[in-house]
Amino acid sequence: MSAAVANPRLLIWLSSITLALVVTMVILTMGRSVYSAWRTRRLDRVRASVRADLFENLDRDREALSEWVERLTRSERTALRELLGTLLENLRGDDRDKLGVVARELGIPSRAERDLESGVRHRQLRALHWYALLGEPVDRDLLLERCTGDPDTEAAAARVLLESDASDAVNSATEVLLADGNGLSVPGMDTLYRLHKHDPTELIRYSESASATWSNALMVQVLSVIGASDPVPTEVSLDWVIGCTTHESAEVRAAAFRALEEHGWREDVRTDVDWNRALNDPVPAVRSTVYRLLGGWDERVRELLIAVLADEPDIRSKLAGVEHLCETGRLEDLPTLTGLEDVRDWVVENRKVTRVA
Amino acid sequence: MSEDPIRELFSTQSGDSGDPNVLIVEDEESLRELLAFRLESDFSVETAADGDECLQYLEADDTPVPDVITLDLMLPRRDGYQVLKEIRATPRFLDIDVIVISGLSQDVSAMKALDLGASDYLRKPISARELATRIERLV
Repeated sequence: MSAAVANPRLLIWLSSITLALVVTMVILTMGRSVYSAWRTRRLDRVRASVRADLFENLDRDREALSEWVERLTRSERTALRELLGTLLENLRGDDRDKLGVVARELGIPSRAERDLESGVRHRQLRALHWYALLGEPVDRDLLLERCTGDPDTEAAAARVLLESDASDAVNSATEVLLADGNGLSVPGMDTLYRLHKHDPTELIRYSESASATWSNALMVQVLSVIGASDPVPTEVSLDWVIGCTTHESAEVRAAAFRALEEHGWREDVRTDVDWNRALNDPVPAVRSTVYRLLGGWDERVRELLIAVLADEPDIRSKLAGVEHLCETGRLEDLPTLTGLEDVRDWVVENRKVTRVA
Repeated sequence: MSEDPIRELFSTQSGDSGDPNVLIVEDEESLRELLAFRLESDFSVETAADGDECLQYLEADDTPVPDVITLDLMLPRRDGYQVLKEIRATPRFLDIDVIVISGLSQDVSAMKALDLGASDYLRKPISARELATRIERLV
C-alpha cells in the first residue's frame, strides 16, 4: 500500500482493476438474476401449458396419450414428470390409474430401473420414490443387491416392498432392512414396525438366524420393534430375545427386558431368564428395566421386588422400580415397605400432581 | 371481466350456471387445478390457494357464497383449522358445508376437524370421483 501511495500511477492502476472487477461482478449478478427470472417464468409457462394438455388428454385412449407424450419437448417432459409426481402422491382411483399410464408412456419405469442400477444414492432414492408411486413390481433380488448399505435407501426399498402385493413382501422387506447389520434410519425403523406390528414371529425367526453379525444399535432397534409389537403366540420361541438379556452390551440387555414386558405370563420367560443375574446387573439402567418388567407380575414377585428395591444402591433405579410398582395401583395397600417409605410417598404425591396437571 | 381485484384472485372455472357452488381451497396448484377440472362438469367451481384467499373470497360482496368448501388442512399462512374456525364463527357462513381434506394420517386430525364443524373428512390420497359424490350428498 505504501508503494502505491508513493507511486500515483500504480494507485490509479489498482483502482481501475478493482472498479472493473466490481462492475463485472455487478453485471454478472444482474445477468444471472435476469436469466433466472426468465427461466422461472418460462418454466411456469411450460408447466401451465403441460398441465392443461395433460388434463385435456387424460381421458383419451392409450394410443392418443402416447402420441401426445411423443410430441413433448425435453423441458415439457421434465415439467410433466414433476406434475405426475405431485398428482400421484395426492390422488387415487381412476385418475391415478390414468396418470400411471402417462408415466409409463413417458418412460418413467425404465428410467427408474436405470437409476436403481446406477448405485448413486440420490438416483436410487428417486427411483424407489417412483416405484412406490406407480406400484411397479420390483425385483426383490435387485433391491437386495443394490439398496443395502445406506439406511435411507434401505428404508425406501423396504417401503416399496411393503406397499407391493408380492407374496413374500414382509420377509423381503425385512431382509432389505436388516441384511447389512447396521443401524436403521428412523423411516427404516418405522417400516420394520409396520411390517411386524401385528405378529413379530418372522422378525424373531429372522433375528435368530442373522443377528450374529449385527451391530448393537441394530440389536436394540429390532428388540424395540419386538417390544412395541403385539405379543407372539405361545408356540413361538422367545429364546433369541431371552438370550439377549445376557448380551455384553447394557443397551441390548435393557432392550431385551423391555421386549419381554408383554410376555411375563409365559412359562419360558419366567424360567429361562436368569433373574438373579438380571436383578444384580451392574448397570442401573438395565436394573430399572428389570424392575419395570417384574413390577407387573404377581404378588409374590412384587414382594420379592420390594425387598430388592430396598437394597438398590442407585436412587434413580430405586425410584423407577417404585414408580413401576405404583403403576399397578396396589403399592399403597402393601403393609410393609421397609426402606422404601420415602420413595413411595414421593411417587404417590408426584402422581397426584401429575394427575392434576 | 370483473374489475374487483379480490374477485380476480380466484380463477373462475365455470360461469354462473345454477349448479351448486364449490370452493376448492388447496395450496398444491396441480391438485387444485385437477380437482377443479374434474368437478366443473357438475358444479360451479372456484379455487383459492390458501386460507387467507379463502376468507377473502367469502368476505367479498360480489362472489357467490359457496354451497360446499373443500378445505385442505395444511395451508400456508392460515391453516385449515383456523379457516374452519373462522367460517363456523361467522353466522352467515354457517350453512356452508366444509369437506376437510388432509394428508395427516392421525385419527386425531379428523376428530379435531369434525369437532370444529367440518361436514366430512377425506384423507389424501383422494379420488376426485369420490369427492364429487360426497359433495353431491351434501348439496
